[in-house]
Amino acid sequence: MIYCPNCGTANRDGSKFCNECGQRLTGAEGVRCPMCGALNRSGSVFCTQCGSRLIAVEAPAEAPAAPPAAPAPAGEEAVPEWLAKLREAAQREVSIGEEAPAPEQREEEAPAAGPAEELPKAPVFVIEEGEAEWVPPDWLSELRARSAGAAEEAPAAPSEPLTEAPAAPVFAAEEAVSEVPDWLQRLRAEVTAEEAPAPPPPGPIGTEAAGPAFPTEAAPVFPAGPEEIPDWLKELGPPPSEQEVIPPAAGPVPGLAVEEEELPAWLREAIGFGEAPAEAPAPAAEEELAGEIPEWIMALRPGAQEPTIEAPPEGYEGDSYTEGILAGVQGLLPIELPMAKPPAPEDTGSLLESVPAEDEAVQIFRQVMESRPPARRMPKPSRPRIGRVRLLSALVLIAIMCLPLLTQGQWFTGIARTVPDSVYAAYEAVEEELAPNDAVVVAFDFDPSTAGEMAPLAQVLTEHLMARGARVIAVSTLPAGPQVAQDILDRAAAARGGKSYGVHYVNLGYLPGREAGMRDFLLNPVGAARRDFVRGQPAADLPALQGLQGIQDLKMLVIIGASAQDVRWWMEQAAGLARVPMIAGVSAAAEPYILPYYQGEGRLLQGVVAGVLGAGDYGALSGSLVSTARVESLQWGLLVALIAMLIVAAVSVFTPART
Amino acid sequence: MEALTGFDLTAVQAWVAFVLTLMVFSYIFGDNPLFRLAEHIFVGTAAGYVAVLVYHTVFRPRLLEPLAQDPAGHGYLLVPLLLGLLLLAKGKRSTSWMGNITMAWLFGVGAALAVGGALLGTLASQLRSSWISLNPTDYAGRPLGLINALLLALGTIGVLLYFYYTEPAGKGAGRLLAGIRRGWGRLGRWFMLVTFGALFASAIIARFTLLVDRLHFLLQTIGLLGG
Repeated sequence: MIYCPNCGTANRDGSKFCNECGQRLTGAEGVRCPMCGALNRSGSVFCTQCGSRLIAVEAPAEAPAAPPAAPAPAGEEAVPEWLAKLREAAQREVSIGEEAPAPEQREEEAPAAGPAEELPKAPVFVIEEGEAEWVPPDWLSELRARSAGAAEEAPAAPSEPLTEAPAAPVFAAEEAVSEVPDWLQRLRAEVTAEEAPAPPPPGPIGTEAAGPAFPTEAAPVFPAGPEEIPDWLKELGPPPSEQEVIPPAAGPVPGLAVEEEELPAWLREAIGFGEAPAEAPAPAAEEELAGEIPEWIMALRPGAQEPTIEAPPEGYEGDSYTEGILAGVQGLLPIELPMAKPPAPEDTGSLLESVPAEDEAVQIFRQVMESRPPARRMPKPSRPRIGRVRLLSALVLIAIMCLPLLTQGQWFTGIARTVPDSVYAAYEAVEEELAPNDAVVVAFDFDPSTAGEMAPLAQVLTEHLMARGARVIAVSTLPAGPQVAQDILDRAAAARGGKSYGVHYVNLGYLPGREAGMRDFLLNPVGAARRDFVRGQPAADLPALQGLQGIQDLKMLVIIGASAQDVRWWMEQAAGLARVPMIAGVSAAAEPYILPYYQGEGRLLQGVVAGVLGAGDYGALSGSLVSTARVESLQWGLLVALIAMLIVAAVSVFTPART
Repeated sequence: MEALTGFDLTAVQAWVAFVLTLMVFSYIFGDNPLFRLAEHIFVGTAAGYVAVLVYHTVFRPRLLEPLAQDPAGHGYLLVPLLLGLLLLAKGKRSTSWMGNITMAWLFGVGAALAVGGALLGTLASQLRSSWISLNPTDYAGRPLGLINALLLALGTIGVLLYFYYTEPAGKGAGRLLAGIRRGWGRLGRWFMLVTFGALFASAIIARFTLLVDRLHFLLQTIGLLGG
């Protein structure tokens, strides 16, 4: 979970923005809890999830200089950098105990202080309120107490620099040699001359230069140079060789992991190695010191307050951690002591309190959510009214259209109409252009799906052609067209009589390739067709095709198509090859597209016959028998449809539109 | 087939067609399984019929038999055969590029034929048909011819002006011409509306014709109509 630093809403892991307030979560400004990782609002003191304190009582202004990170061992990439440094410090401490380096060597190993911005993020050590924020060693307490006593005689008070020192504890022993006070350098020279081990810098474990800095509130600062030494420390004067060292009242520094012989003599005397702890100062003296020593120092006095050491955490055995990410780290991490404690219930208990009205609302909400909705019979959706209207309209229409068919035109009389000019022109073209035995190509470009409209039209045209004695050569650019054409040819031949297949008419079947097939056929009919559709005979052997070499030998091209596109392709390909008379029989739907080819000066068609109505007109002219009942049925059906559309239009006009 | 020779297959075919027609007509009650079944049967039989027909009218007589009888003389047929086989490569994505050769050939030839035919057969002829006289003296005794010519001119120019979207800014005569253009464009819009209505009416007539044919078939099958 990621908690929004703005509103505190819990968001799923990986969320980039808060789902409540839209606050950017990744990279958002806030304080991430070092214990649970939750992102808290900037300025939060305690973590909203685990209650850990997020900030120190007074955060240091400057982070202490830290050495560059040591290369992490393989497989430990997930260990935080500060932890790796801590481990390294612990290991270095062990090595110090085994083989203490010379002061020069230590100076070489001392890392260079880098800028504060490049420092790794150090863990924030927080000490709960009411406890000692930082427990200095006893020797330091005694030292400061003594300095306070000396301050009564000196004009400069040592407390002010201490309270204002913002930096985390920095130990001058790890700094460059030039920054070491003179008295300390002389001391080192004496120790080196005695071949004594170099004294480790005083301080708690882990406060070496290689380790992370643990900032605490008003942590004492060990100045890095002579100029930064506070006055109270200056009052102490030079090392014991020049000034008398006052033995400290406290015992050995707790937690100082160095042996006694490793320390210089003056330091052993100062911290009281091997001596019994001195008695606590008298109350009168304490009251006297209280006015001059800062409170935090007074709180740090021996016996004032001791941090509560709880049971070691999991994975901690002996002196170091043995498992987990802290494996290898020596000593208890002091950060865990205050931060592992959950907040007191009373701290957040007030936030969860509710008023009785809210409890009642919660109960109502719970009852509503847990109660099942009452079983209610949903009204059965009624069938849309338009369905009944549609069914009724269809039945009426079918009944009216069936009556002319049933009565064979006896009860109903067809609506009188004049023969269109285009139909008459087609009839005239066949009558005038064709002579007996002329070759006429008839393209049957329709299939059974449109045969109901196109078959009567093709029937009357084919009969008229046969009546004129022309050789009818049928082709089709649709795969299902040849069979329909054959049925019509057979009926027309039977109607006219004396016509035989292969001699007076022939079906060359399907022409693949659309425009290409049309052009190929018009250029070479016999070569393009190859075989006839019915018998499979070679086209060259058929008597009906004798003398037919190309489009120039054709006397007429009759295009019967349900689609305007098919008719147009035939016309366009034929017009580009030769000037051959053409007539078209098209469906009513294609009529508006084909009629322009008949009209005008540049017309390509000699005549157009459209639909069943055109077939009836043409049959009336040519003497072919066309079912007048079908024509009448169509006419009455169209009339009913027209009336129905007018009624619907009127209703829609006078009916207010539904929103 | 010998056993079926004496059986009246025509009657069976008629009744099958009768049932299928009623199944299609059931769409009047909305989409239903009967309509879907008839639709699938129609599509399936049509596809099967076309496949068989193409084999018997195209592949066998135009490709297989010539190659089998005289391979050397009909070696050129290997080119269309190869082009046809390349189309099969379209079924796999990695090899579909090979089918592009055939597709390019088909589209190229088709476009060339279509453009050539459209220029000579449609465009030239329609332009000539639109070049009409508006002189009343040419329509002496034929007032309907004159009206027809005027309507044709008004409609043609009006439709063209309707699709003239840009309008130059101007004053005086320019604004007057712009107003005329807009008005004439609106008139052209009405010409288009009437044209679309006529096309729709023609489509309705075609569908009604098919309905009459089916009704005639149904009545004939159940014996209400003779022959």
